[in-house]
Amino acid sequence: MNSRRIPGLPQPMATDRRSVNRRITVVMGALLLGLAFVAVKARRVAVVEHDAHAERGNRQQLRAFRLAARRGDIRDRNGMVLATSDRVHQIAINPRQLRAQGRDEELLGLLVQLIPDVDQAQLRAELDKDKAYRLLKMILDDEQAAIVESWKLPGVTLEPATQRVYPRGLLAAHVVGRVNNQGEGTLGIELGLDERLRGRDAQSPATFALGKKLLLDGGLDPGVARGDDLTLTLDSAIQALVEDELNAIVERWNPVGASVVVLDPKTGELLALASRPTFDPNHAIEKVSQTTSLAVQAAYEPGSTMKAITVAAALEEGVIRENETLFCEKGRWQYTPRHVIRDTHPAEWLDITAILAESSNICSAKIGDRLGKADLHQWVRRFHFGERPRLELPGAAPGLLAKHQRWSDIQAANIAFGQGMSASPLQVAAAFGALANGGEYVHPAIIKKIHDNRGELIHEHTPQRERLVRTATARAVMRMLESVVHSRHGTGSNAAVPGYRVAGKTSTAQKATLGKGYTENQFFASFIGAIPAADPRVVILVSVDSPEGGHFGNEVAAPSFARLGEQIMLHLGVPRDGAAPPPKPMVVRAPRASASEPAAPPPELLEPELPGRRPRVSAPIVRGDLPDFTGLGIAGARDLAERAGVEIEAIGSGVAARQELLPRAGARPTVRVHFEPLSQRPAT
Amino acid sequence: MAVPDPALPHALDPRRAGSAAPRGRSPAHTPEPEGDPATFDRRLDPWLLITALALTAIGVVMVYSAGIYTAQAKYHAWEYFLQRQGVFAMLGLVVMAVIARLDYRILRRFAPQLMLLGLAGLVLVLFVGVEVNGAKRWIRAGGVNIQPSELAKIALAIFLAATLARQGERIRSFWGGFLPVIGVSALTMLLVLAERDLGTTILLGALTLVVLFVAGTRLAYVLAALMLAAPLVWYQIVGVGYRLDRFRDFLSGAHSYQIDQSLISVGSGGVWGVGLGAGKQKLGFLPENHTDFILASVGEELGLVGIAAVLGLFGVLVWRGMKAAQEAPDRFGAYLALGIATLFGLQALINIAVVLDIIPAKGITLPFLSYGGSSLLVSMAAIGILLSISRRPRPWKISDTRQSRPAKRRPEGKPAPAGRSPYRANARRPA
Repeated sequence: MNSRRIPGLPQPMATDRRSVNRRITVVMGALLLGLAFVAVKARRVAVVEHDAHAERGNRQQLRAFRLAARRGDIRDRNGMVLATSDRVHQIAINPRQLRAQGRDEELLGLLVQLIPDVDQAQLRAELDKDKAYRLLKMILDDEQAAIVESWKLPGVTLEPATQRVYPRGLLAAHVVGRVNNQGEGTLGIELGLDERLRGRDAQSPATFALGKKLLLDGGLDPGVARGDDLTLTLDSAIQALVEDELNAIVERWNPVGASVVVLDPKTGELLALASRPTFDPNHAIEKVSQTTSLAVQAAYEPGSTMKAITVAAALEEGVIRENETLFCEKGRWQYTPRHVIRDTHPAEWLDITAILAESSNICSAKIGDRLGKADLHQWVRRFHFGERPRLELPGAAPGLLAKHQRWSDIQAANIAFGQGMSASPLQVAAAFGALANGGEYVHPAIIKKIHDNRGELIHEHTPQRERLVRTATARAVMRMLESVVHSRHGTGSNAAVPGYRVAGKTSTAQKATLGKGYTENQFFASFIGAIPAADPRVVILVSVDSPEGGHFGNEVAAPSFARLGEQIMLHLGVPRDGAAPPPKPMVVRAPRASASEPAAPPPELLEPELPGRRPRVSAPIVRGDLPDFTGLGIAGARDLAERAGVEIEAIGSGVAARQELLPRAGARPTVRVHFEPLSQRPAT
Repeated sequence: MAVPDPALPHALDPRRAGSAAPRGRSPAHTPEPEGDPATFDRRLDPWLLITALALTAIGVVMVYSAGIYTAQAKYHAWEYFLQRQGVFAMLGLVVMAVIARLDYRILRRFAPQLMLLGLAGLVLVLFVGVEVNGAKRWIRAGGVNIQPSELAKIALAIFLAATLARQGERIRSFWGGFLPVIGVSALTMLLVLAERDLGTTILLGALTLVVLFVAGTRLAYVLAALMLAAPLVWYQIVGVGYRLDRFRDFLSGAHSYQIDQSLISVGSGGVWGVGLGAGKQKLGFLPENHTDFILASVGEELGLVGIAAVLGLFGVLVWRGMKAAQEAPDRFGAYLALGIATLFGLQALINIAVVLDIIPAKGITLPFLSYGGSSLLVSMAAIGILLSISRRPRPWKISDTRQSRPAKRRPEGKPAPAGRSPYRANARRPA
């Protein structure tokens, strides 16, 4: 700048604006240069080192979000929910933090206030633990969770949880089963198809934020993380009838155990399966014995029921003829020097029908003799005794059936009338079902359908049939078995169902004790029958283990069979012989609009109760407000009225035709039921 | 423009030469030229205005985006920071508009008072300040946190400009010029340092030296001051644990957690960024990402393009600020504009250098962008001053230092003839 100095003017000063401005330019240049340098560095970080930084970023930002699969539902064949999962809440506490801040007593007090029956000692123990995280066992519903949230206590958080709910309580408890606290199936179908029900947990990329996982890009469809839904072959209505009947049996006979199997012989589908003792799957089980499904897991000596199988086999082999008569030794047959076979009803000459009707052990043994050990064994095996049923229910008993080479003579004779071997009630029902189904064995099934998490049908039960005997043979045996119930000397007269023919067989098996032979005072009483006999819709097996105050199948089991048979026929809408079909719904809600009103309960009844502390279910009965008595006999109507908690006033005789609700007089509603004789009622 | 070079001091202006020379005052006593009234009342610089508005707008948006998760986690309101920053931005706009309408020279008159106010604030914060992150820098007043060091920065810039403009050539002397200026500035720096704010201390020191340098101090003094300051800064770093750790981290190349996260943010943004609002580092990974490290959030969400835009805007700010300084009608205006532009430029430079791991971490904010009410208000007020300088306003009577406070060291200190004073001209302005 010196060169531009104007000569003659004073020396420019340091504060001269020109010098000042020059220095300002220097400062500006330095700052802009600095900014440019920073920009270069920014480019290096953002562009050159981009991949490395982005990778490190992803590593710390991305997490996998796991959505625990919701366990699939279990429904009956009509879609009624038997097991489902609720989203509930659990309390997680930080005992250290709570104690450090002196809020533990406060929490304890609040919890006791919220849940009065909480286990205080256990809660105290949890609070005293030197841990930073404890999940309390209590299950809270949404309302309770909101209350807990409103406390705003430090170290108290809510965690979502699922709770398995069995809205029908005891109904089909053994079939449905139960899950443990870890959500693993431990009993029944819950165990048998645990893998399918459990489903796969869904994973989704999530962003990690201050210790939480956030789903930023859309959500995770909870429907994906879901186990398969099962549809059982059970019919809740029939199951409820069965449960009810079992309750009655337990009350009347105080047995060690009892079970009922209701089977559709044409498809092998189990319509009802129940045992006593039982349990409420919503609550902890008190005794292990409660969990045994006697109908499936226990093996008994089937007793006289086997005679029908023996006869069918002998007819098929041609060793006996249908109209042949055998000498029944007047009730006592010295079979071997050491063994005597006895009959309850001593007889001389009996035809095959009478042998079954009067349940002659001696003549059954003789028929077995004619078959020979090897053939008898083969036939018993062909009826799938001694093998585990192919069923999704865990622990199905295969029963005991020794090889025929190891049979003693008396054992061979015993097996002909159902002693000396064992089988579960389910096996007996399935084998009997083969006779009822025209000689074709259908493997019993408990799973009707399986839907995957997208609602698509991935499995549907198709009956697996296996021909055992010719149709004619099976028909002949069924005809003979009708005489058990309907003939004068039949041992199963109590099983008669008004309006239907029944083909059945009583059984009164002596119970064996370990190594000591047979007891004299303990029996296994059962009745198995197919109804209607001509074209059986169901096979019902009622078994009672060691009843008190009676031991014959006809005495103990047959009446239950009769009651169940009638109710199930009405439920299924099977017409009585020669009569118009009864209205299908057996129980409808009042007031009745028309006879064709559907029997299905309204949806809210199908839905599970909300979680929380559910009342323990004592007696599960599917019940409408007011029962429909039409089509029932007087006894049936009274029984139904009893169960529905109404009084009835019976007018006339025969079958209920009309009913009307009388003005309420006492505590219970009173229904007047008009009975009319059926013109074409069967004579028997 | 009537005058070919408005920056040309009127002493050199051939038309003025005749009137200035005969006064025959010694150079040391040359009164500060008041500028040529003919070049007064320009339009304010639109570049400055637009740049400041753009930076403020980016700041409000980025504070919302970067602080959203922290706001929800801490205050349970997603918009907590947005609302506050928005309110302060509006307030700042008003303050900026008002100050831009003022005659900046009014600040010269009240420079000592302003400086005292700034020092008082710094003293006050030592006693009643609230501690945040281990630093006592804020005074809580009615739900608002005021940061006195922000005010002190601008007060010091005004004070330096006023003092140096008045001292003129005396600045070249050590005892009479350099030392008193350094003394006031050292006092300010000491008080700021007492708040454990080394970043702002260094910023103030740099500001002082830059303004001294431009005002014409001997370079030797500036270098001597730097050499004197270096051991003090060293002691401050080595003597304070966390600073030493940061420094060691920096030297060893190992990044502290915060710097590491900052690099991840900028690095994962790439050229175009992950998208506005889509950044993930704000989810608890990058601490202070809405305040000191907001540029990292800009880099993550808007990419290198965003950083370049911010750098460019600061560049424009520095350029136009310096231009306003060079074209200021008087030395006070020049020094003040220079001081403010230097403050913005240096502070941005230091902040961005920290974010990009060029220098060790300092607790220093990015002007306009970082969340902080008092910082934004002061920044916009400073822009208002720059706008006022760029406007070359006619002097107001109230701004006249000579009438209210005659210079004591002017033996022949007679008031200038009435007709010659621009203040008179201003007073005669038609309403």
